[in-house]
Amino acid sequence: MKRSSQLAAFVAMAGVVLFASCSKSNDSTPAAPVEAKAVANINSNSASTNGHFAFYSLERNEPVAYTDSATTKWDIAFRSTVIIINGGTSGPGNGGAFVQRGTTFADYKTISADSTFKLDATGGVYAVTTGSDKGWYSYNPNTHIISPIAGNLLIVRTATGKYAKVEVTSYYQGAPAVPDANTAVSGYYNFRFGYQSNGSKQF
Amino acid sequence: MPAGNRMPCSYQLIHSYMPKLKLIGMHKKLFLFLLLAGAGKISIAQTTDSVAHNELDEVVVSATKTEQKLGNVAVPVTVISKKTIQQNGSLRLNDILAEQAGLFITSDYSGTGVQMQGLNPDYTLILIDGEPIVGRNSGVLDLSRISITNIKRIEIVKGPSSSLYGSEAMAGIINIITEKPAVKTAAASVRYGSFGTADINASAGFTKNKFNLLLQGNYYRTDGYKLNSSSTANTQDPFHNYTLQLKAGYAFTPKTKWTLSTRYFNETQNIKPYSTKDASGNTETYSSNASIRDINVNNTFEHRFSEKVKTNLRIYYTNYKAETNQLYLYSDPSKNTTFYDYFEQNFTRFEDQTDIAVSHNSTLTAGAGWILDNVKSNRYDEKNIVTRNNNIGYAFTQYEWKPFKSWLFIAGARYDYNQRYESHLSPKLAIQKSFGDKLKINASIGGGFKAPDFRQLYLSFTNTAPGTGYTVLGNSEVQAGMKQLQQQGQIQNILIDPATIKELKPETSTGINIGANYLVSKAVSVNVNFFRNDINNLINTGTIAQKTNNMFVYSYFNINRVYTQGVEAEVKYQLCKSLQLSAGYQLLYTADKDDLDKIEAGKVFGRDANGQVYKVTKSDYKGLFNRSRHMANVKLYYEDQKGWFANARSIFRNAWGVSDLDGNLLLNRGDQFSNNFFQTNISVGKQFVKGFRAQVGCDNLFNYKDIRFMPNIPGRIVYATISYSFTQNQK
Repeated sequence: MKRSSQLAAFVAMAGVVLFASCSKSNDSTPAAPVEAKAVANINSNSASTNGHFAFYSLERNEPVAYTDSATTKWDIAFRSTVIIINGGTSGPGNGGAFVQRGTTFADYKTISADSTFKLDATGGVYAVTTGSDKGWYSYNPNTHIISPIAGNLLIVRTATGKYAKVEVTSYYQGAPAVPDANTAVSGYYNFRFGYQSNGSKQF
Repeated sequence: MPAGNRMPCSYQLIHSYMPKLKLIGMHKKLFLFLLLAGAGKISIAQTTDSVAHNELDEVVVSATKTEQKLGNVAVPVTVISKKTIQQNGSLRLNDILAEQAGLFITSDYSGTGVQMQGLNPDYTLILIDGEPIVGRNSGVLDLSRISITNIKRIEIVKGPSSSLYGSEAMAGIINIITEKPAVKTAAASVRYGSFGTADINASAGFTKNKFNLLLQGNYYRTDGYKLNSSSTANTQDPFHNYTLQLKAGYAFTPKTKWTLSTRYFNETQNIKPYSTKDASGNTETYSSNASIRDINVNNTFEHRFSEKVKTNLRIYYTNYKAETNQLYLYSDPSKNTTFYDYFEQNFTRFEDQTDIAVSHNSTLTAGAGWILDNVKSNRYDEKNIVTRNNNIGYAFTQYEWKPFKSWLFIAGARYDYNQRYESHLSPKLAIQKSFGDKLKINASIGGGFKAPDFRQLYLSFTNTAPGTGYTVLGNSEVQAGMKQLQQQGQIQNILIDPATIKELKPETSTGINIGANYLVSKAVSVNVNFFRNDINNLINTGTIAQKTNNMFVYSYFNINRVYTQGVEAEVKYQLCKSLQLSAGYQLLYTADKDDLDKIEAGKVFGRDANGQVYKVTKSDYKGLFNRSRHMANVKLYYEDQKGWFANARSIFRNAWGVSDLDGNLLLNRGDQFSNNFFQTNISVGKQFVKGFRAQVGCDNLFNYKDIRFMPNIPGRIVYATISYSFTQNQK
């Protein structure tokens, strides 16, 4: 159900992109909507990454080996509930991020000029704030389930200074609609993102 | 049989085959004598032709702490009689409460509790003869600790009752009234049913001259059950418990009486080692030993100075002790872990209450008391069992005034001084207007409060179970606890500076109840009550720091403001002399007011069942978790002159919110809800002359099971009971 609707949204988006790209654009109209890309089951558990983060390139839409962690090949990386960005103390890139609350993936089209991109820093300070109900997720102490906060997006400046919006959709393997703490495998990132390759702040 | 309907010599009938019965502390000959004395003098409980009328005449004590007719208390009170408990085949307190409209039985690792007027189990005070039961686990007092096979009646007062009872009586109180010694009494019963569940009772008592004595014993055991047949673990493991009660009284003079009431409860649950295999094929062997013990001793001195002045001095002591030892063994012995939990609470209370008949139409009640409360537990220190104390002093007063025949006013207030948190004043005002004999309108407004408990102040707990590792620090422990964690290098990130965390305040509420009792005809009565409770400073957990293991440190804060409101209705219809039909219903709306504000501001988003993110509107918001909007019951009771009785009771609760799935921490469309719950219980039996009685019944006739949301419901239960009872109330 969830999958098929995501697929439908994807197809619709792709259609819009195709349609938009056929029409002639000029400088005064906003850039064409970026394509929404879905990524499933990025395993961030330290057991599988030998204690390293699971690195990902938003530009190329593919995982990056941890051996490339000191390069600008990656943009975002995951280890359990912590998300780092290639910049600040986390990497050599130009990356930064902030958590945008109260919007939807489709509605968020422009990074406003007064937005501040935060950098990862020492002492457990991250551009994507950690903690339940502080950043991208909340933890339910009764069910022990971690749920991405609906309406929260990660607005990311990539290692090479481009912009992306990222929405985590599930923290569990296979993205079950109703994760059960006894059976669901946590630490698996499912997310979708829009990457603006032209360097503008428009999606 | 309603208390107002006294017969010169009545024998209540309870229970059974004597051969294996051993009465504790009672001479065999005496018992035999009682047995013979009872023979041939038996009369069968009268069926009443107008239940509604008699009910309002029934005397209750919980609503005003004075003896009052049920029809004259101006607040919502429900009485469950011994007869109802017997005919329903209820064994534990939760069994009978589950069948009352507006009471929602909750069940989780902390025990079986009751939600009243939409408020959590933490906010209902549970009393035996007016004295509180202690030993709550995460705020829940486990109702299954209380055997109700030997009691006289249960009184349920809904709405804030802190003006008389102090802390915890925010949603209301449930008072279990025990049997009083009669001239001669003896009873025994045996019940056996599905899941190897047995319940055995025996009691005997007498009154001689100025002295009276009553001994009661109950034994309960069950094999437990397993809802998931492929699992090696039981859903409910076997356990057994027993309750012994001794009541003694002495009348020094007709004006001065002493009563001693004691209760001893002991429950043991030993889980034999059983093994499970994890995903990698490693074996984990689990075993556990757990015990719970309860001691209650209540000394009451009553003295009547004159026709108009009466005083009651009560000295009450109760001790609750729970101990759990768990052992996890792995194929790799270095991973073996143990879990040990110790919790003991000592509660001592001195109270005096004086009732003064100021004039022919007004009564003044005044009382004061002092409570010594202490707990010993390893939950407050990682390695040691430590003691925490609290002292509470209080005074209360109440004035009942009936200026005209049709008007009744009750005003009261209680002031609680507490060593550990700020003092609190709880007022209450109740008014009743009668319109002839048929209609009574009640309205009341009252304050309720709940003091922070020992857990919220002193807990210092790190969960070491596999996959966890979080820490919870009580309000008084948060600075020291955080300092220690920081020194140990366990803190990655501080989210709230411990120095800025304020002292916890009591949770407070204001409750309004407006209702009516209407006798439509001799055979039909209608009871309606509207309620609204506004609660401030609700205590909840919040994160204060992140640990290096990425888990969090939690503490307690006064954060939430919530309301619960709704209407409860009950209709009783005496179809014919031997057949009564009743129906009950509760409609409930609840909300967190701060969440509502956020929704109005358009700040809350949700994820629907299709994974689409949407802006949550008021109509998407579903109120507080774990609440049923609709609860209903229908009951049919049959009872004839020949002693036959039969009944069928159905209860319904519509789906309640279980958990948040979209990370916004509130309940909205797209979150997880339970299934609708429906259960029907039936029972049939015969009361024979000479005090014997036989009964068979089936609870959960349609075998409702729901392993996810109702793991406390084992499935269909079939049982049979035989009993014998003999009571002589007058010489």
